[in-house]
Amino acid sequence: MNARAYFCILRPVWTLVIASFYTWGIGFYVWKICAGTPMPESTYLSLVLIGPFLFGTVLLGPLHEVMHRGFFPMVPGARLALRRWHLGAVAITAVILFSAAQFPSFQLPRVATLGLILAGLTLPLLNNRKSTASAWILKSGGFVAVCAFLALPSRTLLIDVGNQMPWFVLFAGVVCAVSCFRYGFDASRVRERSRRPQAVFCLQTILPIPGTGYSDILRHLQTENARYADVKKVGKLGRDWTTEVVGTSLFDWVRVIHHARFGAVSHARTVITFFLVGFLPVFPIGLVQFIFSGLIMEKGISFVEFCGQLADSGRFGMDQGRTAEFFFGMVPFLGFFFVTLAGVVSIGARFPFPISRRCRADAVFIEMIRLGTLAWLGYGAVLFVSVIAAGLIAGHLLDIGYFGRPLVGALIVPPLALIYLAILHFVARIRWLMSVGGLVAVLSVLQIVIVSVGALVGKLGSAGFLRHVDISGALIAPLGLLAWFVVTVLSLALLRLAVIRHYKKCDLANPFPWAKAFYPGA
Amino acid sequence: MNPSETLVPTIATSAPLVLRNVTQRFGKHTALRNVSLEIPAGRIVGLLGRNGAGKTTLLHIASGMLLPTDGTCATLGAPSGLLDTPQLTRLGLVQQEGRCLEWMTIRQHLDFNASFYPRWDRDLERRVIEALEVDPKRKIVQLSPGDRQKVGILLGVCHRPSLLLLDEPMSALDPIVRKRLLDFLLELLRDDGCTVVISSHILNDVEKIVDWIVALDAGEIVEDSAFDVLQESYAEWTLTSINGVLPTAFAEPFVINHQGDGRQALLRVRTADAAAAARFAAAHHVEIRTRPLNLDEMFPLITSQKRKTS
Repeated sequence: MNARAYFCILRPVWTLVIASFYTWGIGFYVWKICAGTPMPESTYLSLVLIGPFLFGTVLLGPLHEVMHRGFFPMVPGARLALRRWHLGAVAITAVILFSAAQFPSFQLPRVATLGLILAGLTLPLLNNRKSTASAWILKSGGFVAVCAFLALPSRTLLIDVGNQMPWFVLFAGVVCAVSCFRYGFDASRVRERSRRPQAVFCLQTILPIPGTGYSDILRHLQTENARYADVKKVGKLGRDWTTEVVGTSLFDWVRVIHHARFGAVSHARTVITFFLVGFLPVFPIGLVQFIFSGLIMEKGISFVEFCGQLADSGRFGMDQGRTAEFFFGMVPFLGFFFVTLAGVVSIGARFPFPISRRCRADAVFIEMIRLGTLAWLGYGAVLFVSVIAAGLIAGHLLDIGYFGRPLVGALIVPPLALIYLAILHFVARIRWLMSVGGLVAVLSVLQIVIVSVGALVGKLGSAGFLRHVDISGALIAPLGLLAWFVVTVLSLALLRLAVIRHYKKCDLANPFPWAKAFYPGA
Repeated sequence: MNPSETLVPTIATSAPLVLRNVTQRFGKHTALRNVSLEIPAGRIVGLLGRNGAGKTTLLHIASGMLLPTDGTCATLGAPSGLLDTPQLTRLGLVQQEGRCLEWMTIRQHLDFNASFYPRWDRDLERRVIEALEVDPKRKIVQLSPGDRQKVGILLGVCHRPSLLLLDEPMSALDPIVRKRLLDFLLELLRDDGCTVVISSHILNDVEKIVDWIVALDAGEIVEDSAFDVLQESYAEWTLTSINGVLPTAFAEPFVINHQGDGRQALLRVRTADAAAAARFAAAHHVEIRTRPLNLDEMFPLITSQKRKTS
């Protein structure tokens, strides 16, 4: 394998762009914001810990992409050649990072710096990419672990060890690098990779840059992974349709569409699933908040005090600082994400049903609303249970006031989600927008708007002047409920119009071809 | 223990592909059951079988992509689990659904693969590109399934392999390109003495080039014979009764299949005995017109043998 072939798969320019963005855009700023460490220390640790991990990931991505293709084990010497070239790339990157790490005024001994850089660069080799989810979990998990490690007192421990036993750090880094290389380029593991059915694409391939053919790649990725997902679904319990005859009513077809997508799962089970799944992001949010806000910014706070703050934050006008802003800004956004995910997931069935386009549009619309409502109920329950649990732990006597902001957080979700889904349907019909990458831009802007609305609601809710205003009471009052109801119904009508127009002309075998790219469960 | 560790490092045989008691299990499912096979050099072998018979599994084991649960497989003289550069440079595999690097153009992919093969033949590459009507400037992701299959063929043959394993290489190709591909395979055999194992359901095409047939059914080999021997032994007999009514069944063991009314009957038979028809005519007082079967007609008879005997 010559240099030309290696650089052809690596695409150095894009690799550099992604790596730079990652290192400085995420590593440095997240680190600075979350941990609030002094600038030189942040810069140094970004360069020797977060930077190498992300650079290692970006350098390895194209190699994994090749390894996950069926032809790879048949190419003579390819495994060893890739190992050789990756070793070279790691060595050069280590030298660059090592040189850059000499500039900040905060320093560990050089030997320790090198050890840390080597470990960070080679850790991504442990990524087996057994599934798309596991690959992302390892990547983001690794990143979060590094951040958490640095945010906790372990950072001081690391700095102490680095200062007192630099040679030990180097030794550990070298051992880690050697082990990771052995693991990552092991012959049997490489062979196993090539036989996995799911498609693996690195960031260099799916960068949304017009002219690189990324939209074709994205479509291909969706098709491949959809096929793989369909294969996995076969044999799942409860997918058998009973022998009952499908009638001619619209709701019969709603049941068929639901069954085609989810199998024989009851609605109660769906709510419970959404409830449980809803907790998955809420707990880490609470935990991250507790660690970063509680331990670092407001030092000395206990868990019970933290729960008390959280419960109090449910009241309007209670300014609990970052805790309230973060929780009640982030949580509506997550609720929104769940409801829209449920909406997009419900349209995933790609079967040639013997019904007219209009009937299918109506059935899909009802299924979308039904599933979205279940997701909303499940998520609302998460929100209220979280506040109740926090109040109970803190020993607060809860009254209706404690649920003011959770209530707003829950009520704001349906209109936002309905409008968002409607826009998705309108946008999906504009083919040229997809081909030039405009879809990514539109969706990104939409998501930013939604996050901003969530953040605004979170910020407003803690404003001091609201402390004596009975907003929760006003919301529950008939007029408040009517206002919310009107807005929601208008959003609903907009979505219905969008769905009907979309199904008039869409490809019925694949009504939302790009859904998977943005909604992994779709 | 890794199955490859149980294999001897080299296997003293001139045959490019040897399987000994190979069994492959995927969980509870047994894809191959005690398969033994030896394919001599320079032969074009048609690997036949119904869907799920184990053809792809056998080819994956032969190419070292899959290690057998039991038994040994030697490819180009080395255990298939330990294939290395000396063997891989002489081995070509065209997969049924081989995924390439989709973002590359065909030219980029050819150059990428060529960099690993010292014997990559640019002239051959140019000729195959012309024969298969491939535009090297196109991105792989934008190709139709047929064009992707052509890329798979290009990547599998341009290094002039000694052993070429083709897993459904023609399923998405049009008849004109299929014919060109078959001509090309014959040329490869003539020039290099390449051994070819081809698995395909397009039997009319396969029978034009193969000289040996290996048939699998439910993971077991049910046929391993020269194609011309099969052609001589399988036949269709049209019986016309000379006097009286034909029996509803015939006891002769070589009769595989029987259809007919009282006056006429159509038998599918397998017998290497040239005088069998004459003896049969005399015994049953019938006139016999014989017709050799093509591979398409033989296929159901071959693949149903095991089920009949069991």
